[in-house]
Amino acid sequence: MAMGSSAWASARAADLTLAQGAEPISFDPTQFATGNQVFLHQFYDTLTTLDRTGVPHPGLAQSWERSADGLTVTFKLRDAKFHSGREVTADDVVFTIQRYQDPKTGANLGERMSTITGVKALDPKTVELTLSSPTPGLFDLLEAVFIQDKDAVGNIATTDAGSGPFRLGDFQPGVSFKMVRFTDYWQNDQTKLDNITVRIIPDEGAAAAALQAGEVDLLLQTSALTAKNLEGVNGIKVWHADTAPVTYYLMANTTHGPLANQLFRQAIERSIDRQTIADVVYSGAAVPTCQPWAASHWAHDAKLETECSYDLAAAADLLAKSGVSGATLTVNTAVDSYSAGSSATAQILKESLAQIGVTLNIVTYEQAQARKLLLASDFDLLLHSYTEGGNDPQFIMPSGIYGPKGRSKYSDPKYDELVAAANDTLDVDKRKALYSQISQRIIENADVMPIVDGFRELPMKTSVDGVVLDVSGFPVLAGVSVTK
Amino acid sequence: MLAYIVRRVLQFIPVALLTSVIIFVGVRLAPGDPAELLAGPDPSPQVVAAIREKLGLDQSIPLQFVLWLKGLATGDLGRSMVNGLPVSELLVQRLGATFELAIAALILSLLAGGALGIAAGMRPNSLLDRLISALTALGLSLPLFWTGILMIMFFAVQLRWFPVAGQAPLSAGPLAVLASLALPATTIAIGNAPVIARFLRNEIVEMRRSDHVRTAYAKGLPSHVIVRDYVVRNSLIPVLTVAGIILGHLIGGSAVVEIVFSWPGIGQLLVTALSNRDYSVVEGAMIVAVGAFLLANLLVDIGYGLLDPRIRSSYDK
Repeated sequence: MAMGSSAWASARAADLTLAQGAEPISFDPTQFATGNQVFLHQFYDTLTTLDRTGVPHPGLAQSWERSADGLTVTFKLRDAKFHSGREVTADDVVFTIQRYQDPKTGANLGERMSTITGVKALDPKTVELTLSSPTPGLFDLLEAVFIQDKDAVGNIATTDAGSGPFRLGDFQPGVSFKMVRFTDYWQNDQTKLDNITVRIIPDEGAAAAALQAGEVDLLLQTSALTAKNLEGVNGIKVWHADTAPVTYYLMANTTHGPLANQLFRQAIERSIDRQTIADVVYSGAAVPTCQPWAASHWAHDAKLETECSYDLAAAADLLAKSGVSGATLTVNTAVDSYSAGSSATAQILKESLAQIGVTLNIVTYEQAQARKLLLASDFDLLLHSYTEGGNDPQFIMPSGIYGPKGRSKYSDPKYDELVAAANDTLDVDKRKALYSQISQRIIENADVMPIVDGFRELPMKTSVDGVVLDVSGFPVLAGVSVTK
Repeated sequence: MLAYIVRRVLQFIPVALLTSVIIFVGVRLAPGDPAELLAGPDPSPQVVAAIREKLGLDQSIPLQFVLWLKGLATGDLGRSMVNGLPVSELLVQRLGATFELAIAALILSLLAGGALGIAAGMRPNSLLDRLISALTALGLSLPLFWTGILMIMFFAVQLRWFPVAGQAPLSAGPLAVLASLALPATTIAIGNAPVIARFLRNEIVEMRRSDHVRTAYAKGLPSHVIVRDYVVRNSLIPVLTVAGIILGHLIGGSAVVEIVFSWPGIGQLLVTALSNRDYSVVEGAMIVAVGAFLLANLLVDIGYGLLDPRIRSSYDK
């Protein structure tokens, strides 16, 4: 009587059905909302792509050339078509970059795009970018700049405007949408799937059940706990991604009471039991860190990790030196996706701080209110996360998290100097040394305290292979194969 | 009767107006706004301000309200602040799914609740009555999300009789449509049938003690005729009220069940819109929810007339 199971799901060998909790808010690739990430690399193509070692490869741009001063890069576009059938031109690239830069678009690349100070079409297949600095992270940035058909963007709420390996097929709002192989894609021979069906299953338990029942092949967004529960279930495997981490951090508002005191902040830093948080809160799918980038990142300096290790005696000593006593602080936590596990982390921190005589109150907010307080720096302490941990350090540093524009409101001219120097060179060894010094200052300043790098866990059928995440954690699915 | 219906519909207007003010102001009083959420995780104040301006949120709340009301008067519910789609289009997309689930769940609730209520009411204080009483207490106390997950684990994962989640499109055929409806409709019915059963049982117990039923027995009418025409029919009026309230709730969106079963209805839309502070969609969905209640009440009133000739004749006075 199995009348319902997979009754309307795809069943062909070259089809993949995946589930995710959030629905796309539109098909606009300037919006990186959780529900949108699944289609970014499928509907859209980028000028260049990065491999795992950070080396750029041709995408829509078949070649490029950098000027001697490093401030101008000229891209030669290949022959490629949009899903509308129109040829991709330099004008579309100019349109796309300007669209990302227009504040009204609200593109989620934030201020990263300000590194591009000019873009012009030299001829229908040649684009020139002018940069404010040599921008060592340029190719990292370009992997998140999805080229759009300037004539199709008007309908982007309901249809895609890309030139990627898949185009939008059936769309049943709130239920599912289909991504269908684009046969005119410039490297269609590399696409292994004919169809990708994305089912929207908001309840995580129901999504796990759908995987167990064989209705879906892959869960794209799931908690570490659900992934752990699915591990070992017959016919299911869990892929533990080792790139593109979500970095969970504690931020101190340095204008609030005792948090202006650096020694006091350092005492808090040494009270964070990172290992317990990684094991308990993130079910082991996280790695302790006190640097802005993950241990697998080239900018990471392993020898610095001991400087922030959990040590309550050292914390008590720092507290005594700070002259602060009997402090009471509030930590903001939230129930949104950026704050996964924040309440549980806060509980562990509260226990530790109580042992050195600091009282911590925990307040939990829902998504919109949490965002309001975050943007206004309206907190003593804040538990939050960022997803740039896999990116080039250039694009982790100038965000609202670290540095002069950071919401901790801390100013460190030496830090700013080091960041400027790191952005001004393309020499990897020099950058490595500079980022080590930057990490050192972040630990000492203790205004932003990275806690753990959480890695994505993707439960899927054992028959699924080839799922890739880019440096930002956006899935690349053209190379996925499913053995039915 | 027609005059009565017109009168009730006219009563809807002040209620809808008052509700719209409450909804409009209420949703804007909640902290946070859509611009801050749309701007991504790390926006500059300039980006947030530009989005706010684009969405018209830089205008004063009274002006925003007037503009919204003006649109509403012409049937324009505005556009979603998140994806720019017309709210009416989004609501129409979701209303079909909500109606489908609501009607199926109501039919199941009435059938199950009706059968249990009659069985218990006809044999008060018997073992069967106690058993049904325990069953209905269980149904009432089980949280819907838990029942839903349990149903999924048993009927979809273990037995694989039904799909885990989602709504099958009509193009998938009647069997697939019914299969995708089965678990969410049953989950809702498990929560609602006990209410109907209990109301009906108590009414029947009361009715069986009433003079006209005793007279009917004294006249020597057959038992099944008395039960059908004298007891059950007369007991249905309060049940109809409950059914109307249930229907109003369901059309307003059974958010929990819709989320557990990924059912693309109004409830799911409302929860997502609230979380994204998508003001115009929240307002539109709430108006549908309120309208559903008022409509359900109207239908109940008409139903009274159909069941009870005394009420029918009073309409025309």
